[in-house]
Amino acid sequence: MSNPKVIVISSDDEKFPVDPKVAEKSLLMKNMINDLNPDGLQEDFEIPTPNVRANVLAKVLEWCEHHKNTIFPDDDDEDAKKSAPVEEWDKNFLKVDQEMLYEIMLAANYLNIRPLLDAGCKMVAEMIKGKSPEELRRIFNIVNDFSPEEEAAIRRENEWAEDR
Amino acid sequence: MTLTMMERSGTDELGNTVVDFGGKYSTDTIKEDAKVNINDLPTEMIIHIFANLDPVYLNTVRTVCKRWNFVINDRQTWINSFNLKFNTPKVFPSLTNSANWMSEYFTRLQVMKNWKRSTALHYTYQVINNEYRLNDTVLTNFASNNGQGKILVFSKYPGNIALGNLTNGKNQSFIPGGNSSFYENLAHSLNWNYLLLGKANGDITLKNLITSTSSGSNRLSYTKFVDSEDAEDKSPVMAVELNSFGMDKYKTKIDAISGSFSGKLKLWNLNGQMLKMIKFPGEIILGIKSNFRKWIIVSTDSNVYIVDLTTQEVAAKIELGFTVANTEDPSAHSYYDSYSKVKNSLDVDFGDSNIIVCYQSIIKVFNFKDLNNIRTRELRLKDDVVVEKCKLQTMSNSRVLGTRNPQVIGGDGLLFANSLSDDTVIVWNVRDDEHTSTIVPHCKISLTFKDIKYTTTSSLFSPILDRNLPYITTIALNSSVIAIGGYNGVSNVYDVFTGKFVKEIYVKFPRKFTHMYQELIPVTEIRLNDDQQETNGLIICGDTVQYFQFGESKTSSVTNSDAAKRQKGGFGNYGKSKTKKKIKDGMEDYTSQKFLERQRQEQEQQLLDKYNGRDFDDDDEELSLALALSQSVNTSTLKLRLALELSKHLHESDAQAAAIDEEEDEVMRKVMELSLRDL
Repeated sequence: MSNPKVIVISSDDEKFPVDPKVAEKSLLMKNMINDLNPDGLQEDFEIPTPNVRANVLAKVLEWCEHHKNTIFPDDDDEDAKKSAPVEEWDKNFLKVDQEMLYEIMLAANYLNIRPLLDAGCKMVAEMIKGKSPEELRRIFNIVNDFSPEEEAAIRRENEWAEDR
Repeated sequence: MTLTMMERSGTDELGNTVVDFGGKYSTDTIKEDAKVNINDLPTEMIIHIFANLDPVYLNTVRTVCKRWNFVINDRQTWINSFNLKFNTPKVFPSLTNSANWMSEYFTRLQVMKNWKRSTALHYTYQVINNEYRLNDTVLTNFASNNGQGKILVFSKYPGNIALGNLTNGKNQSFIPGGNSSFYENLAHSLNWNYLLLGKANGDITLKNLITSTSSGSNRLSYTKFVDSEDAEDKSPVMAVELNSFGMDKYKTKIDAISGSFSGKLKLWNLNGQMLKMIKFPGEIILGIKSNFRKWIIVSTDSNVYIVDLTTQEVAAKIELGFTVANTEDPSAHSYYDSYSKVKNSLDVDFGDSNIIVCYQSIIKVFNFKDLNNIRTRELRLKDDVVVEKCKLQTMSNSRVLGTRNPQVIGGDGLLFANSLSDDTVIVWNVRDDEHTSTIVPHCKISLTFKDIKYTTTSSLFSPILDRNLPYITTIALNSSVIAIGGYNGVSNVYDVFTGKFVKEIYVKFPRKFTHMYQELIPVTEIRLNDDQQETNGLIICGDTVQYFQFGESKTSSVTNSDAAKRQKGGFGNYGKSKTKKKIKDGMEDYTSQKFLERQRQEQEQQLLDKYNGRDFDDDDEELSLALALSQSVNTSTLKLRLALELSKHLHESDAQAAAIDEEEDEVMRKVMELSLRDL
């Protein structure tokens, strides 16, 4: 008989059977598994994720699968993780359209998978880096909702800050 | 075995509402609606993203749209967030001296982390030829000398000076005072080049510390000030002030000021020529402060005078409201000297025109920005409590001389601390915008005997209790912490806004400093680096000095021998890579602020667990679960309100409502409240 699985259910009711080890990359799922199965997993265990749709969940679980043996530094161990660049595999993994990237980040946030969220935020930061406000608006499809006066006021403030 | 939400919800009336919630958030809607935009991410995630960017570049990013500008620099949001995170009041001193909230935020997180972090460095050394273990004035410069820093210790009674490296005490030199009598030097003021002394016999002397030698020969380096109008003025010199902000190399401008027992204020140049004399008849001059730019503040035994340095005239007079009393016998040798123990303190915040005076149980601030309308703030301590120590926060010379800039984060506040006779410390803001008449401390720290004692018990400390000595011997503060000293090196650091204990900043003295294990020696001075982003300083305990440093220093060669790599934090000119690093660090801490969020998630999870466990107790619990779930899928506020109303209605109408457990009710209410708040 095979080992019991964790069955993660997406918002659109698709079922993803995974190893408990994979699911436990999500602190939310890990706590759920441990709390409700104090004697260890005896049979398949279902976890609904009512705000993650199937194709996003598939990506997230793919990440978990890849990193099932990765040991991420503790939150307390700041030095190790702070300046670490995004790992090459993660970088390629997160080379998706913006929409998907945000959804992955939202899912990582919800499922409490910090390293994935960190990597996602770093990726978005990379996209922002060095661009002009006009370019940023275009890339991120943002409407400039400032009045010309408001924009001028901020520029003046910035000049002040740069002069100091 | 497990039912999905949809199937489950069909079973009861309220469940149907839940189905609606669930249905709303289906993949269909996402596909139909506009694509997920970066601005659909929650604010904390946007901050998380920006935290990876250079703070200077964030100024550019601000102009993209209102939301981004809001996240990066919305004043009210940040004030609230600072208050939540750091407990800062509305006005507080900035660490970065910039106008960028985000950069200030992460710098502050990093600085506090440095204070708390365990990697500490301590050096202990002894100041030479200091047999009395006295130090009346200590000068420190943390940044000079290739990162070794400089320290100068002056002892008033013998008049001795010891100079050396600040971090390790090496390269010490000694300049003897050669005093004949203990109470000869009444007043002193010094900078790195000169020592100005006011004496009991009316003499005023200036000593050049650069040309002075340890031989004790004073001839070449010694200037005696002579009052050309009244060379016979023998009135004891009670106060002197020397320019520490760049003296006139031609020695013609006013660089020294003296005040005498007979109320004569004299302005001198470095050649020892008197340029002006102002009389305050019948008053004793006890304190002088000047920025040598615009103002001289003179404190007598009953008034404070504001003298305009450019016109050399008295611009304003402020009554103290008390008269300094000295109970010492006037015929005693120490009579004049004893004034230094009983007089009021005098500190001046030239940047915002505030004069701070502390006397017995009274603390007063006079704001003289408008000389015709001097505002007074006051604090009177109750129950016979008196002020023991007064300290203005540590700041760099450029800040002492600069004018307050309200555009700086936190409104460019300035902190002041007092230790009180009831073993407490209060911290308050000198720069107050509220125009109130009272001083309201934002932080109060109460110490117990335990707080000032080495963790291992030693009979050494019993005299403190036996003789009822104060627990607090010295204080020092900067924009983030306050250090409180006790005895034999014992010194702790507390958060200057919350008053919470941060850490011990001393280590036990090595055994070779035997006197530290034989007698009780109060901590005489604690010095913090005037660079507000640094986390190092000195504990001076009699003749023994301990240097401490937490985390890496920007300037100290102790951890970074390559001086060229140094990045100096000037005004708004923070090292880019450094700050970036700080921001990344900061993110880790940011999560802790999201306690509420986590709490919500926990609750949600708890309920999810129950859902999977299929152990509903009754319909109400089912409802609360449904709501938690719906909330987790970002339902609109309106729907939640509706549900809340419905549930209330249900409770009222349901005959069994009375039987419902109070606690359950509470849980549900909380869940709803939380979700409403978040949306």
